[in-house]
Amino acid sequence: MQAEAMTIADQALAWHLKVPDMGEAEWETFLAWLEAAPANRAAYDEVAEADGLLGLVLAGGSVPAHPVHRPAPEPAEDFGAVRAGPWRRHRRVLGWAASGIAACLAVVGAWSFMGADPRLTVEQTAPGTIKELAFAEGTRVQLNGDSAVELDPRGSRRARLLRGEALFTVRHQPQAFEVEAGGFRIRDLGTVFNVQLGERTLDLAVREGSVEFDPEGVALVVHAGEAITINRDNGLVLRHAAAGVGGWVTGELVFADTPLAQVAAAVARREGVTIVLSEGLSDRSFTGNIRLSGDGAADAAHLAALIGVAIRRDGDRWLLG
Amino acid sequence: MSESGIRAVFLARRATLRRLLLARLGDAAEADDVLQELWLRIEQARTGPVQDPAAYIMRMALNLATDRRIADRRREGRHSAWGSLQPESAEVPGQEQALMARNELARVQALLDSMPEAMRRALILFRLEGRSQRAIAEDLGMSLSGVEKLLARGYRQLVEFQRSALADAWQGRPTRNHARDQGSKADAG
Repeated sequence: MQAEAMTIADQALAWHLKVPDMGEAEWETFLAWLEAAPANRAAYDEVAEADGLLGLVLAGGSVPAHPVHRPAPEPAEDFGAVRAGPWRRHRRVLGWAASGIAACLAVVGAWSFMGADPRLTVEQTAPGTIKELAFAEGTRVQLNGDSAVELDPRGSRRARLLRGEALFTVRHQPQAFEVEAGGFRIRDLGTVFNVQLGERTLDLAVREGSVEFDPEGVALVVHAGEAITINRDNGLVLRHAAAGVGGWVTGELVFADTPLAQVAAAVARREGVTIVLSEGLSDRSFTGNIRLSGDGAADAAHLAALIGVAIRRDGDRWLLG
Repeated sequence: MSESGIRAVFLARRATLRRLLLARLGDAAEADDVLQELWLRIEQARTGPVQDPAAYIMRMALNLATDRRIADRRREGRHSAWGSLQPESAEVPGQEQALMARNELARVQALLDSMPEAMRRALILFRLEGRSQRAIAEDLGMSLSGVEKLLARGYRQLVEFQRSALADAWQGRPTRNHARDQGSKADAG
C-alpha cells in the first residue's frame, strides 16, 4: 500500500520534471496518465502546489524575511548563477524590496469574477490616443492609449480593464464601484485611482480616498499616496509609495525607481510611438519626471537625453541605447 | 504573424487543451472557464515567435490549471501551506496575514538554504529559468540522470514540507476550523 502510494508520487514528480521538454507524444501519454486515476491527479496536484510554493519563494517572496542578506545596489549579483530570461522579473521584485520602498504584504490568487454580460460594452484606444468615458451617475474613466475597458455606462457600478491603463474618478454611492483587472477585484471607497494591467503585473495606485483590493480575499485597503503591485504569475503583493498618480492624463509622468522598460512603455502608450531599448537597458531603474510634449518623436529623444543614451530611427521605431 | 499562428494552434488543439484542463481540475465548468481565460491570455499576449507553440500552449494551460487549483483550495478554506499563505480575510486581520505569509515563505527559504548548493542551483535553473534538464546537466557538469535525481530529491523535500505544514495547520488550529464548520451547518439549517 505504502509502496504503491510512493510510486504514484514519484510518477507525478517525474512527469512534472518532464513538462518543459515534452513533445506531442509525451503530452498524450501524460494526459492519459492524469485521466487514468484520481490518485494520479491528486499526486500531481501535490507536486504542482509544491512547485508553486518554490516559484513564489524564488520570485522574491523571501525578501521581507531576509532584508539584510541582499546587497541593495546589485541585487542580481546575489544569484550570480542565474542568467537572463524570466529572471528579469525576479530582479525587478528584488529591486523594489532592496530599495526599501516595498514590502511583501500578502499573496493572492486571481480568478474571473464577471461572467459574460450583454450590457457591457468594450471601449478601446489606439496607442497615442486617450479617451474619457462618463457614467450617468458622475463617475469618469480616463482610458490611456493602447488600452481597453469593458463597462456599462448606463448603470451598473463596475468595469473590467482588459488591457492597458485607466484612471478612475469614482463618485461614491451606497453601492460600491468595482473594477476587475487581470482576475483581481478592486472596490472603491470613493476615490481617484489608477489601474495598469501589464502582462505580468497589475499596478494599482490611489490619488484620493482609498480602495479595497481583492475584497473577498486579502481585503487590502490602499490609501491615497499608496500603490501596490501584484505579480500576476505568483500573486505576490508589494506595497510602495505612489507618485504622480494618473499623471499621464495631462502628460506628466512621474517615476520612482522604475525599470526603463516600464518608462518607455508609458511614453509609448501615451504618445503612440514605438520605443525599443537596447539589451541591458530595460532593467535599469529610472527616477524622475517626464513632461510629454504631444510629439512622440521629440519625447522619445527627450527620454534618450534624460537617460544619457543615443537614439536613432529605424523605420517607425526609435532605438535607444 | 506569430500571434495569429498561436491562435490557430489554440483553435486546432482546443479539444486536447480541454481534456488536459478537465483532467487537472475534475470539473467541466471550471475547465471551460480556464479554457476561456487561456484564450484571453493568448489574445492579449504579445509574445514573439515561440519555438513549439503547441507545447507552449499546453504548458500555459497546465500553469493556469495549477493557479486555479490553488485558488480553489483557498476558497474552500482548506488549511495547507497555501491556505495559510492565502488566508481568508474574515478570519485573520491583514497584518497577521502578511506575517503568516512571511513566516511560511521564510520556512521554505530556510529549507532551500539547507539544501546542498547543487540541488538549490538545479531547482533555481529549472523553476525560475525554465531550463531543460539537459541544459542544467551541462551547467552543473553532471549526468542527465544525476540532475533528474537531484531535482526529484529537491521536490520531494518541498512536498514533504507541504505535507507537514498541512498537518501542523490541522493540529494547530482545530478550534477555528471547527467553529466555522458549525457555523455553516447552522446557516444551512
